[in-house]
Amino acid sequence: MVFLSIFTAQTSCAAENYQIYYFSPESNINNYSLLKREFDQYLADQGPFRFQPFADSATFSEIILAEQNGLYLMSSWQYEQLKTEVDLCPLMVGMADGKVYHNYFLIVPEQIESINELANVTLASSSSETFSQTILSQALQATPAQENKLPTVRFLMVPKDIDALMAVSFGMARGALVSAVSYSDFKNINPQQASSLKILAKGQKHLLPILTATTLQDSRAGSCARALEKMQENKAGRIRLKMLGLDGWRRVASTQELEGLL
Amino acid sequence: MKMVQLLFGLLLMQCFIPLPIDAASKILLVNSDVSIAKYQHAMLAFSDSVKTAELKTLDLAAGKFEENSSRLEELIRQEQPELIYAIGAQAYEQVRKSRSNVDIIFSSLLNWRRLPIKGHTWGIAGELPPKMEVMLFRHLFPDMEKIGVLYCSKINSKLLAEASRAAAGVNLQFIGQKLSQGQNLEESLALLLPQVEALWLMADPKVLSSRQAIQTIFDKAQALDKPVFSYSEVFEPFGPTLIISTDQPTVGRQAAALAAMIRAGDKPATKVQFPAGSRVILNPNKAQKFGLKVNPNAMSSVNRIME
Repeated sequence: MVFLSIFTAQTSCAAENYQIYYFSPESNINNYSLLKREFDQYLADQGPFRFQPFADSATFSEIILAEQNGLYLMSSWQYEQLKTEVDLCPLMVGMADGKVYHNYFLIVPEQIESINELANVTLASSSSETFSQTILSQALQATPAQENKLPTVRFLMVPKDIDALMAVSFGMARGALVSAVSYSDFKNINPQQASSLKILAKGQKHLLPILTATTLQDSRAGSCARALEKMQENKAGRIRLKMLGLDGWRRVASTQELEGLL
Repeated sequence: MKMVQLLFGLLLMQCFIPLPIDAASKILLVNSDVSIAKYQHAMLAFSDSVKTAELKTLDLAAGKFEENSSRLEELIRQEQPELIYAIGAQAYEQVRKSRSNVDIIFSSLLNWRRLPIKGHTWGIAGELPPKMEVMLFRHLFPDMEKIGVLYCSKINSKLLAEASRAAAGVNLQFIGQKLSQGQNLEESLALLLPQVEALWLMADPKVLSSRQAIQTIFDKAQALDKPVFSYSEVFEPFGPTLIISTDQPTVGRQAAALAAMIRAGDKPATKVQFPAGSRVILNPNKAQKFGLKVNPNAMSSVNRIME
């Protein structure tokens, strides 16, 4: 199979570093320099590999559309958008708590009964505004039929999910869009605070970040992909994966297999 | 069917586009000092968030302060902004003194309660609420039980009480040691540090009275293998294990959201909000050295690692 053969291909030594390009609209934390430093430090022992996070979607997309040599680690949302424009080969999908997917919740104070009560309110989110709009729309389509008059909302971008949940708890926002895992963590950290919140809507499942290559990748792609895959096997690697919200990887052999995971 | 779904999706998207400040809105942004990083971060995030508004910026630090003070009054008269955003205490003071009736938003100033707040003024506090810091302590260090606080009772009794109430909700305990007149700093630390697993620095001018006092605190904590948690990157040279501070870009975005609400005629219910975003800087090597277990799931919440 074309994709699995990337993992078994022999590496040819090339002088320049081989890049893993990364962007996530699902995170606003702005810890790119941290990610780059920690991943570069780890990957330096694995081969001529470097990690290059991006702060914005447009620049990341340009790199992919230009089919620059390297591997691309992207959100599944972005994968769906880009796969129609570039021939992307999915290699692995991230895993967390044994699952390859996650979903998002709309969390509100306990006393809110319906989406209609959220007219003109502020919703806190750690994702980009565009992604937040998408997951909120999906969450509302998933609930029982809504009235025609849907409320307008304002998004407040915060660094991380726990900030979004605290913003609702402490009155800086009227709702929060957070991952199910973050909501679960929040309930464990402070059950008393969490009891004043509830899930108003649940979004669709999204695959965790997908590692892809284009058809123009060179032979270093295989050893680079293997180096990333092996991160789950050692402590130093697992710590770095946690910075991406992951604890491992699952190989995929084809686009069809990827789509079948949900 | 797909077309129907597409149209429905487009309809939903229209409903979730945030209310922009209308194109005719004129906003005056008064920055105490653009060269100060935290003021700059708030300003840039605000500017990015109010793209549709006409935005004029004044840097009070550029030129003489007194000249800028009269420049500000003149600018307000000329420009007739519909809203003024003041970043930092100096900017807020000058805007307040300008006797303008324009709606004002302030941010990035410490201890806002010491300043008069008029009827048409809203703001974002400079400090994170203790309950947010407490949540983050628990999120990062799941096994921690006792944190020490050295404080001056006249300044920080209420804050410590508030923090203690929040701590109870996450099974943490704050052990407070008053810095009293009869006792010097070293004696107070000698009493406190053996009882706790870490020391939390509060903004307290009596405790953090001098560079020497700060150095003493860090030295004594280090000698007893106790990590120090601080509230500002200003302390980074002294070697804290953890810094939790306000995320300034979020402050700028909050100010922009407030501005949008005010311009839309929705007066915010709360006059002064807490900052909604936090910035976490961790030294994991020190945490390990001091025997603090760090929650691996919390690493995605760390903005920066200290060496």
